[in-house]
Amino acid sequence: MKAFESYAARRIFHGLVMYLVMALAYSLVFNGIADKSLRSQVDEDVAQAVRASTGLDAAALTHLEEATRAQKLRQYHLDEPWVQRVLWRTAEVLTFHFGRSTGLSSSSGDREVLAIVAEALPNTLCLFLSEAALVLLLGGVLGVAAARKPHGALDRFSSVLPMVLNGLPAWWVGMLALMLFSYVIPLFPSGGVHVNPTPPGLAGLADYLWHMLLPLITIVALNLWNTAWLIRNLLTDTYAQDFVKVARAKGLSEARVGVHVIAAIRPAVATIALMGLIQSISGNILVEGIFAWPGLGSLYFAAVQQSDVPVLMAILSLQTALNLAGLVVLDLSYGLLDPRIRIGARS
Amino acid sequence: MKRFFKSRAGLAGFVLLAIFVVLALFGPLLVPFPGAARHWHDLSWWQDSPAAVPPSWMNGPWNGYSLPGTELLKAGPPRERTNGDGGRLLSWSFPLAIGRAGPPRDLVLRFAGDGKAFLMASLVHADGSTEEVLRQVQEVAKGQTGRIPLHVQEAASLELTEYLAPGQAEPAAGPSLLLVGKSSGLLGTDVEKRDIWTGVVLGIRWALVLGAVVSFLTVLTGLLLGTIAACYGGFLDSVINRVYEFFSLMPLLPFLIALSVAYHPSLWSFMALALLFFWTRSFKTVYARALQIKEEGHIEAARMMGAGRWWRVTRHVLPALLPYGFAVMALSVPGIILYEASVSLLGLGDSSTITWGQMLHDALVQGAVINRLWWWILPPGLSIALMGLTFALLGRGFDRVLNPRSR
Repeated sequence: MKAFESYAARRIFHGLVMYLVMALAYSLVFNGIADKSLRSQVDEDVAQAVRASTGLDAAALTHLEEATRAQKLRQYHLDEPWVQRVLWRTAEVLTFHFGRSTGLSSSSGDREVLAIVAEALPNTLCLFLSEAALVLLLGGVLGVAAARKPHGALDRFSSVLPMVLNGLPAWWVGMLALMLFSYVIPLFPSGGVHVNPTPPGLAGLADYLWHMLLPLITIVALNLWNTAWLIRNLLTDTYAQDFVKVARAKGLSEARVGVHVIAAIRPAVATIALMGLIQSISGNILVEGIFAWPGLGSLYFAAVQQSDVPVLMAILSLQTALNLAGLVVLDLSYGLLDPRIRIGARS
Repeated sequence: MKRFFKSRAGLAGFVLLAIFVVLALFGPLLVPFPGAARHWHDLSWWQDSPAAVPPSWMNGPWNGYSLPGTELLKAGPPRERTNGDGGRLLSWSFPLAIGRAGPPRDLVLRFAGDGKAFLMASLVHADGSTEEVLRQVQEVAKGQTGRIPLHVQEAASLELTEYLAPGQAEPAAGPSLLLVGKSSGLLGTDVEKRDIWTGVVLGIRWALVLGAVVSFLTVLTGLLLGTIAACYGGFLDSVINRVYEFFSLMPLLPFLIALSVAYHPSLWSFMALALLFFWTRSFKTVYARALQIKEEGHIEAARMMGAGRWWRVTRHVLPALLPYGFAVMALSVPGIILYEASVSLLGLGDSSTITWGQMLHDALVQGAVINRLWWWILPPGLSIALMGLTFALLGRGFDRVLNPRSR
């Protein structure tokens, strides 16, 4: 176990270093735009300070203006060379100091980036965690059904479908679904999380789920097939392995054989589930924008449109952190779930 | 090659690709607006088409032919009268029969320009009563076409009269009346009056160019770097793998945003960035395969016979990986086209060309979903899906040839 611990420590450290590198890269890329918006922020602040002061003569006013400007430039590190500014911004990202947005605000009017993101994050998590759970469940059922009868109708269908769906933009399917089931046939609400006014208590929760249903169905229906296909392949490959033959030869019941097979495929299923979640969040995030589901995806849309760099930095670093954490968890879980993999042990 | 065509997937993919290539090459001959590639964003170029109307095959007995297409009524020879002041009055009659298609209809009165034109128009109703809808002097430069839009509720015909002052010459060409349709073309039009079928066909070339160029170059890069990392090992291996890790985790989007603030986003800058980033998509599979191949018996034998590493890589490992690269290339195309479409949807695409993603961006922004303009949303998305399927099939065809286990 000692070996595993040192491996885990190294793997986590590696992930953190990667995160640092990415934060540095984001700061570098956005340096120009961020500077521009900060400079206009300084102008705004100075103008406000001048407006707020009364009863000053011209000389005092000029002095105040210059003093405020110098103070603000220092506050935003604009008086330093750009290299230092990039490093400062990286440090800010690493310590979750994203500052204030340049245009977007939370529903309560807060311009603090953390507040804006904190408002959007639960909606995204709710949508995509439900999606991942449903995909794993339904994909698992379909995969097992397809594996039971190789080359049957379902098996063939589910082998061709991922190929067709692979090149399909999820957000386009979202547009179609929204048009069809919300505007042509008004079955589902056309966007948002709640009707106005929000019903209290349990009815509010039901209303929330009701609003989530159409985006959820859309992404589940798209991502389900890939998982089904992977699980089907996993099962047929595992059932063809020698240990299954041995188990059957020993006279174990099919149910007992199944238990062994499940133990063998556990790590792979964990990979499928986690990678599915990560890929879905990064690949289907635009679907949120289509359905006006106020999560990170919708925020992404708005931030890109308005070039709101602080918000973009926050979303990107959050996404990166999520990706990296997922990969680390995955690597570590191999060692725990699969006894055949002995991490750190010398062969 | 023979085996490739024997696999149904490969054959189907090849046929689809052939269709796409033919459409891309001969597209301008097959669309009603061949000049659209240059004029897609020039909205005045489209002014005579109807806005946001369904395809013309939607007009049929099931809706009582209530969605007629655009019609151009040419004027016959004018009836001529002499006015009191010695000038002349030329008049034309255009039969309208608007009742059948259902009002209202937009009409555009067009006439060749020759300085000033004094025009009067009145509608003649079925009961014989008339209603004046136009009386104005229109200034149109010589050689230009004058356009006067009219909005008509109900009429049997339209009576147009032009007054020519004494001594004024007749207009160079007679007037014509454009009955703007309620349906248009094979796939209808968008809100900006552009023909969707034309856009879809002209979008093929960019999808193909983008897919082919980016997939070829990125897979080639991935192939070379994967081979180098696998065969040379050591320091080079770990450096390449660190770089891979960075680019595979780093999204392309921040770079596109940063670029689009400073410059007008273009397809070429997208391609350049895609080249920098997308090689990672093929790297890991090539790397794993190269690690296997370099341990194979015949390469070991070559080493025993004194073949240097460079020789082994260029003569044995790379040739063994190359056909494998074809499958990866084909399979990477859908992702590239999809990425371009997503980027366009966010408004970071090249707005000076016609791409399917660009069309869908316009559709989303201009309310195609809310207004149920399905003919605007369906075709570009289906094209993306079909193009993706084409390359997925090709990839599977290659895979069948190269990977005996999956046969």
